[in-house]
Amino acid sequence: MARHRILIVEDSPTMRQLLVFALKRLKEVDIVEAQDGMDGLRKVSSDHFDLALIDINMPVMDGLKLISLIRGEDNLREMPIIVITTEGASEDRERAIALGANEYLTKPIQANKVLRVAQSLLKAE
Amino acid sequence: MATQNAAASRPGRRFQKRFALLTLVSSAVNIVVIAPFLMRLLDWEAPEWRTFWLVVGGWIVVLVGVSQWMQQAVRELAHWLDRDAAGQATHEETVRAFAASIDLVRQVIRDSYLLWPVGATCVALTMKLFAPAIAWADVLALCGAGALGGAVSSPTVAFVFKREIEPLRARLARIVESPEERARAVRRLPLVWKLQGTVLLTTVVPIVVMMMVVQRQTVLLAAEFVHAQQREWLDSDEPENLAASSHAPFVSIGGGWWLVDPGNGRVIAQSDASREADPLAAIAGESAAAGTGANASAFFSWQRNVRGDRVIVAMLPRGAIGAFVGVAPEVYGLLVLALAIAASAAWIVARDLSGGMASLRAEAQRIADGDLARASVFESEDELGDLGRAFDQMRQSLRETVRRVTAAADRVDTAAGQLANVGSAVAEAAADQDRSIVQARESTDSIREQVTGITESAQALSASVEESSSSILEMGAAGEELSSTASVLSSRVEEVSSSIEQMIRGVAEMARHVDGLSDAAIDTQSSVAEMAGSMREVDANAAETARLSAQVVTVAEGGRERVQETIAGMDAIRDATDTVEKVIRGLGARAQEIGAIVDVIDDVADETNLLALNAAIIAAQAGEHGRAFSVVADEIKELADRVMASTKEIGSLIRAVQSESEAAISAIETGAESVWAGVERSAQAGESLEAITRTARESGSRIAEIVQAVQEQARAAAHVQNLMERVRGGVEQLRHATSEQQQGHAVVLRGTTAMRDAAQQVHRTTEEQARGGNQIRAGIEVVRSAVEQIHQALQDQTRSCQQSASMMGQVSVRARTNHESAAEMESASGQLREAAATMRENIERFRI
Repeated sequence: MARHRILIVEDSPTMRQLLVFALKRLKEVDIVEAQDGMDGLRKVSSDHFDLALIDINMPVMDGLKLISLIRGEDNLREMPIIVITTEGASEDRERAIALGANEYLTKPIQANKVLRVAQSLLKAE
Repeated sequence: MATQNAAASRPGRRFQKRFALLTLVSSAVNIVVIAPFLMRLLDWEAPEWRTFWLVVGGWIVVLVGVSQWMQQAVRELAHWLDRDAAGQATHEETVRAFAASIDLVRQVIRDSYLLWPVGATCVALTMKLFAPAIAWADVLALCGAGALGGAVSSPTVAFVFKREIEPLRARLARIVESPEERARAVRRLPLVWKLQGTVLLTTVVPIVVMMMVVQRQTVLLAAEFVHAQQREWLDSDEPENLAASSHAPFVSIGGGWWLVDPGNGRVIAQSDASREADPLAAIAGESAAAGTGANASAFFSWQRNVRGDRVIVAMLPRGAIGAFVGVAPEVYGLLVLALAIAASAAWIVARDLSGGMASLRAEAQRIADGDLARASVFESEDELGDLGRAFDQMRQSLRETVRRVTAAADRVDTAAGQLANVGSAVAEAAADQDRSIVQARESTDSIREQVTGITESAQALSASVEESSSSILEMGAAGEELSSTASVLSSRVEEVSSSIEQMIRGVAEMARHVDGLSDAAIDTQSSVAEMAGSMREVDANAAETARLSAQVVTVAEGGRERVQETIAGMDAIRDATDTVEKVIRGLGARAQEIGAIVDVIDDVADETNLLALNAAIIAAQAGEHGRAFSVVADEIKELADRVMASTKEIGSLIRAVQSESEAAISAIETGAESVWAGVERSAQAGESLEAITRTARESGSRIAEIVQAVQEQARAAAHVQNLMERVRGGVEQLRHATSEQQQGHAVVLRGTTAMRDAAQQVHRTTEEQARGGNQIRAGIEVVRSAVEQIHQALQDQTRSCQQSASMMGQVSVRARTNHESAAEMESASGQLREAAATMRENIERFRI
């Protein structure tokens, strides 16, 4: 089986570390980190990814904007996206899902849940 | 409900049916194995065999039923399976079921050893009942065959049942978690006993049966002899002259024959005249025409003739059998010696095995208790040695891992401690920040009040200026009027005089207003000075707040680094745990491979055993020539038995290792879960710290804005002060001009008395006065513009005051957020410390 490539777009270094910690549990993965929406857009358009985890609240370009730009690209329309939302911000979550995110995770993030959701999306793919 | 019950009771019933079927099938297979021996042992006719098989079939059904009744363990297990399927099995029932799964094989072997001879006896007696013609020797032979059946069936049955029960036993062992509880439930059967029992039963029983076969063969030889000779001897007219040549084989092994007349007991002929025996006494109880029998001294066979006046009896002394098979009496001694050697060899091998296993068990127990020191290392040349080395390897990798985990846990603990310190430092700093913000706000409020005061004063000032200027304008108009009319109105002195008085009143009024103006200016100046003091205070507070914000940022950044170190530490722990899991799974897989190899060895030993049994039987048939080969066959059989016993124990040891491995893996998984939880807590703490850093930075920039605003304010205040100076200058100018004017008035007043004379002087003086009025007007203009500027500056100041207050409010909100985040972080780091403590407790179990 080929190695899966996962992109994490998240401004908090700690959060990125937690996500990397959880996702490293999946064998055969390469994880790439981006620190804001613009960085994420650069990386997603120059390389292939099997899955992207995108935070909503980010400087420079927020997650919702990034998701709408990704879904506007023909070759990125099928890439699974997990959106990371803050507890209580159900409006953001609904907007993200409406824009084309496949799944959502709510902060505080549980590493096990990250793993489960990522696994199910990679399998579905 | 009924269908549910039926479905729930199925597993137990299925289990019982399966075991009953297994018992039946294994019995049938054993009977098929024994049948050829029986055929050889018994010279029955077809009808008798038919009866025999019917009887055997009947008794098998009965005895399988009895064996089911005797196997309590199977019932116990079936009961548990039912309860478990219904989800009602209690812990006690499970422990009992586990004990039953251990006891099952022992019960099966015991039942097999009991039921085969009992069953054979029942079959033999039933045969005697249905076919009385069957000799008692045949009855005995059947009983012997039963004993042999027990010996043959028990290893097979033990193997099959053990294999069958193994999954259930493993499942129960997994459910009953505590090894101590399992140890209490197990009734131990030492390896020495197992081995001794196996060696003795598999040696003694075949030997006894072999002896029976030999005896039987001998008796059959006598019967054959009698049958062969009957026609010739029983019907001969001259029996006295019978030749002895035709019975040479029988006589040569010590047998003898007699031809007797049963009517008078006269011996008509005999094989050897010197032999003394009473053939008629031997067959006294026998009414049949022909048959075989035995008494205390000999085996015999007889045949009567049709008329009943002759009977031929062949007798073979019991001692002669040895001679027949070529075995001297001392060979029996040798047999006993061989038995003793086999028993002691079994004892030595068993001691070797159980000693090795005891050491390995102690080793495993020490590892289970967490003692990973290499106090003793087990070494042996066989598979136990391999296992010992595998244990050593496992211990070493566990040690290495525990060392790594301990180091990582230390790092986590230190980091969590530092994190907690950071948290309280942040909380303290945030509280300080909050305090200084409150102070700053108080200062700002006082500034605002002062500004309001100043504004009021300025407005008063402005009003005074307005009034002053109107008075002055009035005065100016009066002056101008005076000047223009001075030249022409010297005659209207009275009028002028009154105008002058009016003007003097205007000037006095103006002087009063100038005094008010001066007071307002002084008030304004002192308020502005006060305000400047407040501003310095605000500036100092803001600087302190900025310093604290910077400190919060530094501390929070430090905290975040700790968090990252913590997560990195956790990551290292997880990697280490993964390695352990891999090592243990590898160990389990190795054990599985060893198990497969052992199975092969077991099969080979099993086959060897059967071959050896066959060889022993064939050797016995070969007589003297097969003797040496028989000893070799026995040795082979012993070796095969030893191998089988060893492989069984290795198999159970491997299973123990596998179940320990599973327990270890589940412990590791629990540890891994706490690592995950620790990482989540750390991430929460890290996020809080990031939020603190962000808000502290924002506070810092807001404070910088405040400082800027305050500085602007200070500049505006300085400007106001400057303007006030100018106001005061203007006022002084006014005062000076007014006093000059008043001096002028005095001159005017003096002049009025000599008005007419001094009309020119008046004209000059009024011009001077107009000059003074212009001067006043210019001063007033200066004051007015200054007052306007002051007003403007004050409005600016009020605006920047409001801006400061709103920014203070924002800073205060951020400080409170920081405070909350710090509290959150403190609780997260507390949880992290707890997780680290739990992990440490787990690790402290191990002694490296």
